[in-house]
Amino acid sequence: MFEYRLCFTKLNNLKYLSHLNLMKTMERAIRRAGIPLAFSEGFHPHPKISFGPALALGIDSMAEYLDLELVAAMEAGLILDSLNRVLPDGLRISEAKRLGPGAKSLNALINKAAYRVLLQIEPDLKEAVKQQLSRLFQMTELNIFRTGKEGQKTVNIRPWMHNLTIEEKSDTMLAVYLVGEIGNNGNLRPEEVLDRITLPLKVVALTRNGLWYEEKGLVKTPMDFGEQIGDMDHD
Amino acid sequence: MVSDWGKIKDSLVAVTKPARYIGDEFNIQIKDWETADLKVVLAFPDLYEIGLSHLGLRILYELINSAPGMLAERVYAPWFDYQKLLRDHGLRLHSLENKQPLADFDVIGFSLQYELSYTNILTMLSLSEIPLLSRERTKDQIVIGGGPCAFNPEPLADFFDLFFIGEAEEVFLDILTKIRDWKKSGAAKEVLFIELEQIPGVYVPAHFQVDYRPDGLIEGIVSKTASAPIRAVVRDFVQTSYPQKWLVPYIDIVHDRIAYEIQRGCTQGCRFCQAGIIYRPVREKSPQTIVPALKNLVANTGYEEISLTSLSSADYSQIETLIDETCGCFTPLRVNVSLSSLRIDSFSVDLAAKFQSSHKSSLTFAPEAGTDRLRRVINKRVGDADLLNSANAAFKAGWQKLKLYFMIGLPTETESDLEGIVRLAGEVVKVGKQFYPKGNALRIAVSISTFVPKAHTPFQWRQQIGVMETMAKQHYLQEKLGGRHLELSWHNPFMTQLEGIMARGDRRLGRAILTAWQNGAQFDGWSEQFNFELWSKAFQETGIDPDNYTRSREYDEILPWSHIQSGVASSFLIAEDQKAMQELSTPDCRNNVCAKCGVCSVLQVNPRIVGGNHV
Repeated sequence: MFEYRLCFTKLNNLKYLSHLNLMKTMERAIRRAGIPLAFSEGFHPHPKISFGPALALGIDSMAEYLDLELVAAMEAGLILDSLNRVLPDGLRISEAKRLGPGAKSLNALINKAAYRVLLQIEPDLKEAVKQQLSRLFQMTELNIFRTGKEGQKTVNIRPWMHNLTIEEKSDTMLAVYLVGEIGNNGNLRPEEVLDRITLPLKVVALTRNGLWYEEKGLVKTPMDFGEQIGDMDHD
Repeated sequence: MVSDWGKIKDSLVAVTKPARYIGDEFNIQIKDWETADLKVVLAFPDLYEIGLSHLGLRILYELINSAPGMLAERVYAPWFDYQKLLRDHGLRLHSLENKQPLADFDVIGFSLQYELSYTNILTMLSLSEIPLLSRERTKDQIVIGGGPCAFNPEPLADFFDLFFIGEAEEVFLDILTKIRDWKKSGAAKEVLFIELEQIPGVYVPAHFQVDYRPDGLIEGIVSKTASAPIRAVVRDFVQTSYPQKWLVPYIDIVHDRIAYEIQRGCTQGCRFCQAGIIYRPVREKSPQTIVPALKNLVANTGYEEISLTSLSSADYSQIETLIDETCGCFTPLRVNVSLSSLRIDSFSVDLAAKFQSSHKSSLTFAPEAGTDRLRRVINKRVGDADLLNSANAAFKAGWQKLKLYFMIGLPTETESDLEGIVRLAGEVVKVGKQFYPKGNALRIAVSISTFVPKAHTPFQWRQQIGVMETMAKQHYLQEKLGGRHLELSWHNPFMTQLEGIMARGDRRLGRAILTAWQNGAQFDGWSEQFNFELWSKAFQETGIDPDNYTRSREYDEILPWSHIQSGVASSFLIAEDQKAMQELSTPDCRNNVCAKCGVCSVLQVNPRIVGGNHV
């Protein structure tokens, strides 16, 4: 088994790619790079690529992850270099590692996500927005409506909000840092937190800054589960 | 300074499929804006997903961008939400590459593929703050239209400075070079137009005077500059450039694959088919040209699918060699190969079976008519038995879904021809049941379209059936065609009506197009957007009787496109129409039998068959 894990950015205009668009784009880039991708057996063979938790269209990301399986061994650094040569601007592999046997899948692993939201606010409303945000974090329950396949339902998203900090960037700009649950035990969506602010504001940028695994105080990034092979001195 | 694009690029979450508007595709060509001395924007008057699927614009994009100093960018019709976004921000429509407003290009080239996208041209000009009427444009900017609809561009005559008729590859850079030189010279537009008229393919509508008789028929079409527009043709199809920097989109487009044109032109001679006339004569590329080009394209794009395209792929003289070579190359790379436009014979089914190993898709046959008799009328040299044999071969090879294309309203059609469609579809189901007696997997999708007579074809004088008659015929088929394995689909009769009006329309329709657009018509080719009332009102307001355009005509009537030469002789078209009435066939000119259509001598071009069975 030749399995690899890649960490990549999704920035600028490419934030407008849906998860499905991203999957296709990566698959085509891998073929352009001449990386010997493995395919499933059977009637409709599909490439053995699996992605971490989907990122909503419109959100930048500093660190997304994908696993791929090859039919032959390839140096992780070479995968990184050859992919970066054929990826469009905005998608950039920052790290590549070979996975050891029995490595958990990205979706089984990742359970925390960090976001940074840049808000533009009228100077005289800034304090009020800050107060509203802090109050949200102090609440014990935060119920929102979600529309799913089974219709509308009420969801308490507060247990999924693990941290919220605010940084003043300028008179009119606030940076909000959110850490939330992601994956099988719940999904915090930063847009849903911001929707609770009743004052006028403009979301200037929304970025996923990181994804990781956390349990009982133990924190690991998805890359901690791979064995590092080759020269990792890439930015 | 924040560019116009900078003002909206972060607001795109609000629009559907924002990736339509970002550009940034792999293989995008972004040349330096400041130093380019001729700037062309290739405009497609429909959504990105349709426009990027179109081969012609890809060819022009690479052709122009490979010329030193020239630059070609792209723009597609924006959907309503993006139009609103532009207006809300006070911005103009921009190109995808350098994100420059259309008004700042030297040339705007619209692709004219479909009559129902005409109103989108006006939307795109209007969003660019460019005057809609050619005579009102004072800037040194040239608006050109090309593509199949340019063979009768008369309804659009008021909006365009030039039309380009025919194939662009061998002459288009000459045209652009002349525009560049003229720009430097500072001479009047008229000087340029007279010079450009000397180049094959160029048609300046304002140089023609059209007079009408009291009864509304055309009295005469006279050139004020003694020009005679004639179709441009590619004489050396093998050497002609083909896109290698193939754009790879992020979102799913209609034809989301590499397309390679293995031959141009078709020798079948179906009498209703405009493509069969305007791309004559047949010219093949050899497998030695095609396969290395495909290797390059796969390496340059990473695409998982290749389509070998032409108007009738099984006719290609070395098709088996070509398929064996492409499958040999690409199947191990997990790149699928497919063939477009197959004939109705077991040879075609065998070809399709070679690369459709998993049979997940359907196979399409186009018998066009329901009886052998009507197929003789349209010169589709295929019998009921051929269809049933082909269906049999397809089921045997593992296909469970077939698509059958038929037309209603063909000349001489009677009820027995409609009944023929019902009977044939039923017989195909019966054949299918022999292979798949149980379950629901067997699917026969019957698609019914209404015949639209097109300019420059043998049926250009024929009547198009009206909306009521279309509905009655559709109703007949809906009543009789049914059952567990049959799916019937049909076209909106009002849309077909409008298509027919435009297809054989004249200059008087320009006012109706403008009025309909002003009343809100846009994206008329999208059935959920199409609103025939806007058009009825526009025809009324501009005093136009739409039935005047769908009626039958006499051979000696001056047709709105009479002054545009396709290279095929009018006498040939008349002879073909008369043979249709006698149910006489015209043989395929591949087989050393020249049908004497005139195209080779008029356009000074030779057919090219790599197998070499043509004299």
